[in-house]
Amino acid sequence: MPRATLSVNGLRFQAGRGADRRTIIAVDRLELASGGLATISGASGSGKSTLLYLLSGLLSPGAGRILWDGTDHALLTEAARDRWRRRNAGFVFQGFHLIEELSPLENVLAPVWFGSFRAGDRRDRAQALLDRLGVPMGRKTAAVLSRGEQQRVALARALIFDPAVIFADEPTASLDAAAGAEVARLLADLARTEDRLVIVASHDDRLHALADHRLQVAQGALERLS
Amino acid sequence: MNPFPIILAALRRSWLTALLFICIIAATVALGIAISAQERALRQGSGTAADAFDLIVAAPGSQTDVLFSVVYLDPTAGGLLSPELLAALMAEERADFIAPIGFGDSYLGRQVVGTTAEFVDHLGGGLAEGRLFAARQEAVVGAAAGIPLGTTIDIAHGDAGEVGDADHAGDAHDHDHDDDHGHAHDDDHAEEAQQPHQHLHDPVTVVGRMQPTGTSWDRAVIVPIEYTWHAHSLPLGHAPEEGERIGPPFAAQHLPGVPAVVVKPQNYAAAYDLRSRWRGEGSTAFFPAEVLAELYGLLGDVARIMSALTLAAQLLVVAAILAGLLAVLDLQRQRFAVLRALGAPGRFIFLTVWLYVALLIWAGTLIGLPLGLLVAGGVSSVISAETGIAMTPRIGLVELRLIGLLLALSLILSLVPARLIYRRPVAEALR
Repeated sequence: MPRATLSVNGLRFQAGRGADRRTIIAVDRLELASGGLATISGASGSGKSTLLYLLSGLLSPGAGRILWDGTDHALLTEAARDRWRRRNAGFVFQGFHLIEELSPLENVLAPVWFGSFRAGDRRDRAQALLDRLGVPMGRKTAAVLSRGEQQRVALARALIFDPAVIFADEPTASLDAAAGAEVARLLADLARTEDRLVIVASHDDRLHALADHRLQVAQGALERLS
Repeated sequence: MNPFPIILAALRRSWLTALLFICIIAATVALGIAISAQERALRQGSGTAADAFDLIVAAPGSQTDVLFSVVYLDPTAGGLLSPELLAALMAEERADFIAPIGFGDSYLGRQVVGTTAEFVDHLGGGLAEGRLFAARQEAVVGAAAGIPLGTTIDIAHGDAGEVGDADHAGDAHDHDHDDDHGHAHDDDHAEEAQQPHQHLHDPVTVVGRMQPTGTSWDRAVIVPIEYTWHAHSLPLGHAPEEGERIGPPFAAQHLPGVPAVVVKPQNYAAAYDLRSRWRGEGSTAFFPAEVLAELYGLLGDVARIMSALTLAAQLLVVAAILAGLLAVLDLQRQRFAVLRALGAPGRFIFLTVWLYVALLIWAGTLIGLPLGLLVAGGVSSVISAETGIAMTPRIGLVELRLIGLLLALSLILSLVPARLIYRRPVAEALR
C-alpha cells in the first residue's frame, strides 16, 4: 500500500468578483499515489501554483472534492488541515523562504516548534538531513548560504517530519543550472526511494524529464500528458 | 508551541525599528513617572522643610508670602508686625522659644537671615561644627553655604535674589584659599563694581556650621537678629544700659517691627491656643502645614491635569506604536504565510505576533520606570540647587500602579495586531 494517495474529482476554483469572476483552474479527475514524481507544467499565471495551494489545503476549492488517503480535506477543520500539512506534507518554494536570521539547523526545526516547545531528538534528525543533503556545517545564519544550499536547507525543512507528500513550487527556477539539476535529481530520488508523492509545479524541462506523471495546465484545465 | 525563535528572528530582522519603538515607549513612560514622582517629592520636600517652623506669627496679609519668606527664604515685601505686638508676643509664656526673623541683607548671593541662637539650634538639630553665635558680629552658616569657619565676611544690603547667584557661587571657592588669613575682604572689593549693594562694613565672623536641614536655610548665613536690626538702623531690642548683648529676653521698649516670628509652642494645646490668639487685627498666625495643604491642593489639581495629559499622550504613543508595528509586521506577512504553509496553526502566528508586540511594549515600559526616576532625580537636584529644599523622588504606589496598568493594558492592546495579522489569507501572501 502506498504511503499516500490523492484523488481529485470535479475541482473548480474561481476568483474575482462580479463580471470579472472566472475559473482559474479546473480538474475533472486526477489520481496520484506516492512513489513517484508528478510535475505540472504550464505558462506563467496558468494556475500551477494555485493548484498546489488547493491540493495542500491553503486554498479552499469552490466546487469538487480533494481526497487525501480517502479523506475529504474540505470536511476537516482548519486546525486539522494545518496539522496534516505539518506532519504529512512538506513545502518547497521558488524563493526558498528560509528565515534568514536563523541558522540552517533552526530553519529545519521551525516546523517542530509549531507543535512543541523543545526540538528534542528532532535536532539529530535535522542535522542528519542537512548532512545528507550536503549543506555545509557551522553557518550562523541561512542568509550566508549559496542559493543552491539554501534550497537544500528548504528541502531538509520539508523532510523534518518524514512526510509522505512534498509540494514544490518552481523549486529550480532561482538556481543556476548545476544547482537546479541537483535539486531536480534530489526531488525525484525522494519520491522513488522513500515512497513519497512529490508534486512539482515547474517550467523546468529537466524536472519533466525525470517525472513519473506529467501534468499540464492549459486554459485553466489540467490534463495528463503521461 | 515555541514562538520564541521566530520572535527573535523578527526582532533581528527589524531591530532598528524595534529599538526605536522601545525608546519612544520608554521616553513616554519616563515622562509620566517623572511628573508623578517629582510632584510628590516636591510636596514631601517642601513639607519637611517647614517642619521646624511650628507656628509663624506675622503682620496681617498673605500667609503664603510669609511662608515663602520665612521657610523658603524667598522674601517678599510685606508688612511688619508692630513693635507693640512683638513685645506682647515675646511675653507669651507657653512657648519654648519665640524667635523673630529678619531679612534684607545678603552675602555673595546668599540670604543673610537674622534670628536667635535658640532657633538656629532647633532648626539644625545641633550644629555640625563650631558653636552658635554669641555676639552680634558672629554668624552661623547653613550646611551648603560653602563658607568655612573662621571666615570674616562683609555683608551687603539688599536681597540675595537681586544678585546673579551664579557669579557669586564661583567666588565662594576663591574665598576658601584666603581662609588662612581669616579674611575675605580683598576679593569683595572686586565684587563691589558689579554689585549695586552697599557694603555694611560691619564684618561678621563665621563661628558655626549647621547640620543639613534640607531647607533653603542650608544655603543661608544666619546672624543674630540684633545684627540685622543694627544694619538697618533699627532699635536693637535691648536697653542701651544693658550693653551689647544678643538674644532673649528683649526689652519691650526697644523692639522694632519684624516681618515674621517663629514660635515653638510648648505643646499641642498651646499651639492651637496661640494660633487663635494671634489671629487678630494687627497680626496673623498660622501653621505652615495648613498653608502648604492649600498650596498642595492647587499643585494637586495641576498635577492631575498634567497626569491626564501625560496619560493621553501615552495612549496616543501606544496607538502610533501599534500602527507602526502593524506596518512592520505587514512587511513580514510573506514570512507568516510561509509558516502557515509549513503547517503552523493560526494560533501559532497569533501567539508570535502577540508576544512580539507585548514584548516591545513591556521592554519600553520597564526601561521607562528607572529612566523616569532618573529624570525626576535630575529635576529635583536642579530645584534643590535653586531652593535648597532637599528632595528625593521615589517610585511609589502611584507609579507602580501606572506601570502595572500599562503592562496589563499592553497585553490586551497587543491582541489587536495579533488578530489582524493571523487572519491574513495565506495563498495571497505567498505569491
